[in-house]
Amino acid sequence: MRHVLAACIIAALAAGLVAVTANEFYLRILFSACVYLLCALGMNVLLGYAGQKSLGQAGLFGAGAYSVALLTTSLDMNPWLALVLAVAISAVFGVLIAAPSLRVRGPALAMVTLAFGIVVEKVVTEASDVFGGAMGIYAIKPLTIGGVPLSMAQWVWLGIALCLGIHLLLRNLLTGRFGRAFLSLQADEIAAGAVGVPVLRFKVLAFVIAAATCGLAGALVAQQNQYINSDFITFNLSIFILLVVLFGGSGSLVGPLLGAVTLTLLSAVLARWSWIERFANGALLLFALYAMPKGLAGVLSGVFGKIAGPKAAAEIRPPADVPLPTRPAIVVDGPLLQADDVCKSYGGVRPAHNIGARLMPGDIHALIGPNGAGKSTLINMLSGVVRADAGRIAFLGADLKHATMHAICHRGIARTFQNLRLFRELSVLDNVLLGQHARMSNGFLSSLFGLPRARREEARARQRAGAILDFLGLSHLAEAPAGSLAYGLQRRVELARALATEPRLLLLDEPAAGLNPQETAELGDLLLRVRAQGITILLVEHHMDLVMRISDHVIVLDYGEKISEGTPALVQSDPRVMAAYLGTDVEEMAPASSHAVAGLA
Amino acid sequence: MAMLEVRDIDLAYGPIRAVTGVSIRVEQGEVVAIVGANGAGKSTLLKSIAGLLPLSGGSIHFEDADISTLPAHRRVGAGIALSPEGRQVFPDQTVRDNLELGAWSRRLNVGDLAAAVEQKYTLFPRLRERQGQMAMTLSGGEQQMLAIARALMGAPRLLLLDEPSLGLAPLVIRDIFLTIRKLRAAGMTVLLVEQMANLALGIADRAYVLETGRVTLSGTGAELLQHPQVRAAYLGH
Amino acid sequence: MLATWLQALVSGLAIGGVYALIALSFSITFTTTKTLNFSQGEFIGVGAFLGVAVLYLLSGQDEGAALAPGASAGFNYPLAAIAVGAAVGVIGILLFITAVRPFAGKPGMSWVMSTIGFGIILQSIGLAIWGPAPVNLPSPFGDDVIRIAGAGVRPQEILVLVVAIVLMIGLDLLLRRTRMGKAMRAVANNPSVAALMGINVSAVMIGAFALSSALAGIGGLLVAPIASASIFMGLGIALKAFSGAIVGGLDNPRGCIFGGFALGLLEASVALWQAQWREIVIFLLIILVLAIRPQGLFGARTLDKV
Repeated sequence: MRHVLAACIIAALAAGLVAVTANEFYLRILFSACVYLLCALGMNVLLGYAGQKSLGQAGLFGAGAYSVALLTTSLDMNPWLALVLAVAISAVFGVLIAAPSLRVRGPALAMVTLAFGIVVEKVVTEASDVFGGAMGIYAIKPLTIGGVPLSMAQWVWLGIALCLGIHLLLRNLLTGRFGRAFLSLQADEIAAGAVGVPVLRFKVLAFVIAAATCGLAGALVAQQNQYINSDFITFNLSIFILLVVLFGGSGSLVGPLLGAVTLTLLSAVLARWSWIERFANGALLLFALYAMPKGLAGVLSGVFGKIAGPKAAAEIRPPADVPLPTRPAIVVDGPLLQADDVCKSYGGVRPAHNIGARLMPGDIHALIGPNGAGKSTLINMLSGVVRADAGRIAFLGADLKHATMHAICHRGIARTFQNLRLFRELSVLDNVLLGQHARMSNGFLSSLFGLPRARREEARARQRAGAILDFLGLSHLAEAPAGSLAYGLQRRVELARALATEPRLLLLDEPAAGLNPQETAELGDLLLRVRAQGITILLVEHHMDLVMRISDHVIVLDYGEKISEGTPALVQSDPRVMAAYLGTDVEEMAPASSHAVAGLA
Repeated sequence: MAMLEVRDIDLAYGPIRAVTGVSIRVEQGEVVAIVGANGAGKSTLLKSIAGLLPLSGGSIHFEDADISTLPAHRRVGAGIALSPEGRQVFPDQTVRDNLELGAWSRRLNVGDLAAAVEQKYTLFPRLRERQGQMAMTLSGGEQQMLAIARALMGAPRLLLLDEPSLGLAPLVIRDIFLTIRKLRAAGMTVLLVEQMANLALGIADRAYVLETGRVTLSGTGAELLQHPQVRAAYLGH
Repeated sequence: MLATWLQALVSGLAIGGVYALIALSFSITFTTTKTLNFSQGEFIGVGAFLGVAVLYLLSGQDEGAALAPGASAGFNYPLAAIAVGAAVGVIGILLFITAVRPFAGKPGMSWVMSTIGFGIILQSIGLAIWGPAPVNLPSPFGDDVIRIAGAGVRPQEILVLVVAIVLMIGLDLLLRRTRMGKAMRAVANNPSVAALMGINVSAVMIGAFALSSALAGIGGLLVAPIASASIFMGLGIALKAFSGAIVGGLDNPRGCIFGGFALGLLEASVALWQAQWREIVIFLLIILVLAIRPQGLFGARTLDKV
């Protein structure tokens, strides 16, 4: 509530300033600040939260501006209606610019967004019979109240009101389920998918939000000027919008405001010398990247905020014996998961060849084998990270062949990763809450408007996350950034995140890797407690002591094939297993023969 | 003084401790093996000796010089070459180019370079047949030979071999190990990391057993072959 | 009709040669460092203007008047090319040290924005020195149109094509035949194993940026007599070159060359139909190619290790 109050006070102060300023020039600067702030608010969702670089926001600004221009001139539409429609059209363009992101990533995606901006620039420049080119479109209908066009002061008031409204709405969105999901995209798309975030859908959504606010800003500029031409839509505008967010503090709620105000003022001062303004923008961009990766907002919170509280005690508290939140129990007749003849090959390597496995409900299964035996590949296929080339994987009787990672998570399979894929910048609690993502039901609109449903779901998720942290003895670390914890604790947080998806089957890829003997023993106890909650476990592990102690059933892979399975004792004494692990002596191998040479080919 | 002395080193990948307080020693002309299960820190140890991983603690001495902070690209010239885990040949370059790259630090003239390559072909006749082929078209065993030959092109006095048996068929493994024996007979000092303990202990003069980043056992190859703790290190106690 | 097509073919090949050269320059840094210069366009523009400055110097002309048609004649133009290559190469090293190395390999791809920032600074300095107006850079072989089978071809177009091809053959030989080139490819393939060979990986990376930037500068000098040289001219060229690189596969130098030429030809043929739509058609096509084959036509599919 304090945040809302503070935002309203700032807006009221700005509005008051407008009331006492008669100077048209100052009003124009304030209006520009509002326009850039609108662009930055959406861009912050895209860049600061979802971590997607768009270098083509000018194109979306143009989409809004030209939409409103054409709708009010050629179609003679009501200016307010045209404004709303222009935002909708820009949002559609947002989907368009997001489309390549479904397939391409990295520098190519950044370049595609850049190209999008240039295409729009070219279209409005070249197609002069529609868009007027450098001549532009005149007589765009301004917004009116009772038939009277807005005065300059009223334009600024409108701008301030829109900024305030959008800021508060986006704050609702970003402080809950949606904000966390966006942040998870930025941190690690594979981990995001594994905790049930539909990665592609959220990427598109972030692009659409950024497109809508940019389009709104463009439409306002066109209506206020009653004129638009191709000079408005430049690469420099795209970069400036990016700079506002980066300089203000990307990923911070106040960052866009700080960035928009300071940079608009700076531009106004430097506007007389075009090359100096340009130089300053380039230098600020580099400076922001080097010296203040969290922007002005980060610097300010460093100065005024608490200087990072005392480092949380880095040990595990005795775990509480609370029940884990789980899905309603079901009676499973036969195996929980059954894999038949599963194959996978990459080029010449064949990490899985006709592997079959039956995972019985309520058991701890272990998957062991020498390096390169295909263990991680099997886990990856079961969790949808990679697709099997052939064979069938059925979970609760349903085929997983075409299921995406997040859909598999929804169905009740959770996993951890061999090399830890935590959202390192996020707090332990946020990591666990992300695990709850798929268990929450509040949609976009209820989250955006902060409706009771969204609040109820958030409260419930927090209560469940709390129970999981208690179960694992991590409650006292809830606020610590996950990446700041000791390695053993990070492993445990990843387990907490996986448990938060309320799985029926938990896949653990080397959960004891990097743990010391004591931590490994504690992990064993913990996994037995998880099993007691009715959760089936499949773990890949090299710590044989752990495997032999807790497993009900062991599967041994070598060269992508299953060479043995059964109880730990049985597997331990199997000569094939011993040979796979220890090899045989050179002398015992077949003597050199024509076979040996053929074997090399 | 030993040719290579690793003194009490700690190694980590970011927050992950991989090796703690390990000391090993390799004498001129020895084959020394480091055995242990997956994830015990064997490869990490070898990488740090080759300079690919900075030390978090301790020091490494080679032929009386402290090389702890020498960058990887200068250790080859100092006399240490590594054949890395998983072969890692340059897939889009020919067998011959791969070999020539191995001699990068020696700055040989064309004639000496050809002679050095020829010498490796004598050791691995198979590579001569394949010399014009892209390395990615080789079989796993041939790639392993190439990786070893490429390391030898740096004219090392200490050869580091990381898991030469990884993913290879038994008969191919046999060939590779017979080659290691040949190298030893020719006077090469070898430090070998190997998961297949019986194989490695069979040809090693001395060996160390690594468990979760610590040396838990050391002795002659023959002693360790009989030691029950070696088996336990792999399959649990 | 045939003459029009022939003319389009020649100008497509000429501009395609420039795209191919710049596409190759992207590939050189991308393969060795997994980063590339998002302000390559500014490097092209600065290259052209540096070339103009050198030509003023060499021809002893006063800065006030436009360059005389003969200013590029004789050894002046090649000398200018060498000077521009060297100067822009040095700027490239500066770029690597200030804007790429601090961010390379870290999450968040900040190098995309830092190279853009560097480019904006470079451009603003260019603006301060040379101003925004385009200048005329005369072709060393004059501007008289040569008639070939009825088609009008400008000598500079032939020159661009020839120089681009010679440079690309040279680079291809460098990469494939020389020890240095093999070392560069080794670094591109696997930097840590390259270090095991004794290759100084960071020196190779610096060299890659110097080479890539030098190519951009020379590209600017080559294209300036065809398009009028302005400090802003590079953005479109670089973008199309990058598109060519993506189509051919950023990690495949020969693919990049192919992509560059293909794009030039495509642009010229679209221009036959509707000149103002050429950029739009090209970029839409690129998006289409990416949607079908994200790794490009000749690029290698990459796998994320989990």
